[in-house]
Amino acid sequence: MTKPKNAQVLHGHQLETNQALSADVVIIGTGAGGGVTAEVLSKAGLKVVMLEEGGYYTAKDFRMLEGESFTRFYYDVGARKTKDKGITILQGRMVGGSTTVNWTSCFRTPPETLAHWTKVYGLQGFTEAQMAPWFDMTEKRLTILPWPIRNSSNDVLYRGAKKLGWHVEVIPRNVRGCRNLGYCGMGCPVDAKQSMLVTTVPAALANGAMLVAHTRAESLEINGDRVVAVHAVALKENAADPTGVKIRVEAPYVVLAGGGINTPALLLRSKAPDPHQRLGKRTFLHITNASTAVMPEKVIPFDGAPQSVYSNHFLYRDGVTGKMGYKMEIAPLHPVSTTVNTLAFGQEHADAVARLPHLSAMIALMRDGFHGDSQGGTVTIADDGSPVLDYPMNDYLWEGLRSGYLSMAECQFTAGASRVVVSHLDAPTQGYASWSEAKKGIEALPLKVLRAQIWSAHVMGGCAMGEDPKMSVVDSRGKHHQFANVWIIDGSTFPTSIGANPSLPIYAMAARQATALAETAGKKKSAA
Amino acid sequence: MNTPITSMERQFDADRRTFLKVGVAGAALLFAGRWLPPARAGLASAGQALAFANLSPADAVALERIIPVMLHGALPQDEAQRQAAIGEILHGIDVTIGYQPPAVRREIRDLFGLLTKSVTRVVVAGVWKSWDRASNEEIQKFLTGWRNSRFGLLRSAYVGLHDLTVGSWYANPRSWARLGYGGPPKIA
Repeated sequence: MTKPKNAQVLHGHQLETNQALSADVVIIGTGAGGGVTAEVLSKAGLKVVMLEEGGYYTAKDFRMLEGESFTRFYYDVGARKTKDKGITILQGRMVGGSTTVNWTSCFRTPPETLAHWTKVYGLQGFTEAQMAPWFDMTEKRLTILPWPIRNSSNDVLYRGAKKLGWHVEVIPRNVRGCRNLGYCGMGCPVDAKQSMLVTTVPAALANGAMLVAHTRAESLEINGDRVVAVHAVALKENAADPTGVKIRVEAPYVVLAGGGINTPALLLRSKAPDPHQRLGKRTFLHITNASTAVMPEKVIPFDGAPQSVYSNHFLYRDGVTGKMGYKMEIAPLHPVSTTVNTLAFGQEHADAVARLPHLSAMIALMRDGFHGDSQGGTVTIADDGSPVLDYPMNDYLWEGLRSGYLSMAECQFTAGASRVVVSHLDAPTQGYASWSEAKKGIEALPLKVLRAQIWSAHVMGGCAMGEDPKMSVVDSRGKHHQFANVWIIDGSTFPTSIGANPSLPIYAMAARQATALAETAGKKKSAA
Repeated sequence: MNTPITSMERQFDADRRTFLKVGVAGAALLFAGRWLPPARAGLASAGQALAFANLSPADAVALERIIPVMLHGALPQDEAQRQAAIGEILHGIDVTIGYQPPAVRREIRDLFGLLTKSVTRVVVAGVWKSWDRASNEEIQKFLTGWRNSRFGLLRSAYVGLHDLTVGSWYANPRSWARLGYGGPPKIA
């Protein structure tokens, strides 16, 4: 589905005068949480206004060029950084949020995670059985099905894991009519990816919702225990600088869906009540390291679905709350992502990146937040109000990353790699030549911030759900503990990381929360 | 990185000594770029740089010398094409900076301030001559020093400079042939 005719859409960078809008519900953010919420609430007959910081780009804008994509579709040109710059965060900033530029891998929240939330955080309604109908519904809505085609780069993980007797499984993807192009990260040029951009957001628009893009929510206007309005600023084409035009939206219900960095930052800027100092705490990232195999044959890592197989062999290597576990996946490689992440310079760099057609990059995503030594990061705001995420590293996390380097290198050599390059400043740029050399080398690597290269594409936590207000920001329905009319429906409400790519866990959780909210807000509306 | 750990440790020590010389005033120096007068800018790019939205003429002069060292082995051999490529890389960097949020743009300004003011260029980057007269060897040494620095701040500055220059070149279709990349597929 594309943008319906007569859709009410405002673009901040084109607005010339201040706007005063009103609605039954204002939703801040149009990603996995906001998109689903907008469809559910608008379908229930509620008048919805969606605010989105990024631009409204559609298939015709998706020219599969990295330069254009990183600048327009991602926060901080695809390199949002933690406070000490030790972690690079890939986060979408556009209508549809990260769902528009993600790699389409969809996993249900693991039963281990749901059981942990129920047991440790007292969540209600989040058992595997209680969540199953929401997952069923979402998988149907977004055509989430196992993807049977495996490109050569994913085949490296598949072959290596099979030979080693490790778990390896096919990835379900939210696509319909996918052409297997391999450019998911730059926006789908054929509208095959069932992102929020082509599903829930246009459905909400067709239901009469209004979308205000290129507009950043700056603060919440608070009166007693209620938020009475949202104050936003129109943004220039770069979705970074305000134009000077202001937008005020009044609504009896407010849904925050900006994700694990932006949602706590908005609440902090608004000086929202936080009696137990929980706001912006325990932010999780699935911190991720990488290992690149140089294969004797061409693998063409820029061609074909970016991710089609995964291994959970090490996800629970020491139980749910033991040593850091990690999920293993493949990452696509294109010219900019390959060359920017190869940190050598000069001839050494030129020679290393010229091997691109032979490269296959593997990633290990750490399941953070389940052990006492994994408390995640903390979001605060800088003097100018912009979010700052401090994510301190420690021995527990480094041990997980080192183990991840080892598993990836072992898998790649087993699959026939001639060399393996791990994402670390002190590892040889041309790569280790054998598994035994890699093992020795990796065990000796100094694991320090900005020596080990670490990424994240999954921001979670910071406004945790829980029934105990001392430990959480919202209750199990997503309702804010202190505000009577504010809901948070995005990945920020997860009490830990997911342990799998979080898009489907956010969609299904949002469907559940929004359905209950539609009932609450709908009753109020018909009573009025 | 070919350097074995041991020689890298020696490099750390060297870096530390260099940095300790400025230790006390180190933090202040890092921000000195905001107020120190700019070093003498080279002549080659001053005119061209006027067209930039985010780079100053002095930034452009420094980058014109850093780019060919950072991308040694990756730029066209032909001198005219090579100069054109450097111009396009500068333009790409300028555009990219414009898409960064104000907080990141301020950090990039601090980085260029550090590189383009003579005092900090000498003390923190270890480049004694002005950029337009600096040798390739001197620039290589500067980049290696920051990449291997024991100070996270300088390593992050290296990563920032590397991202800007390398990202700008490899976003450019003219760089793709060397990588065996034929560009995005045609959609029928």
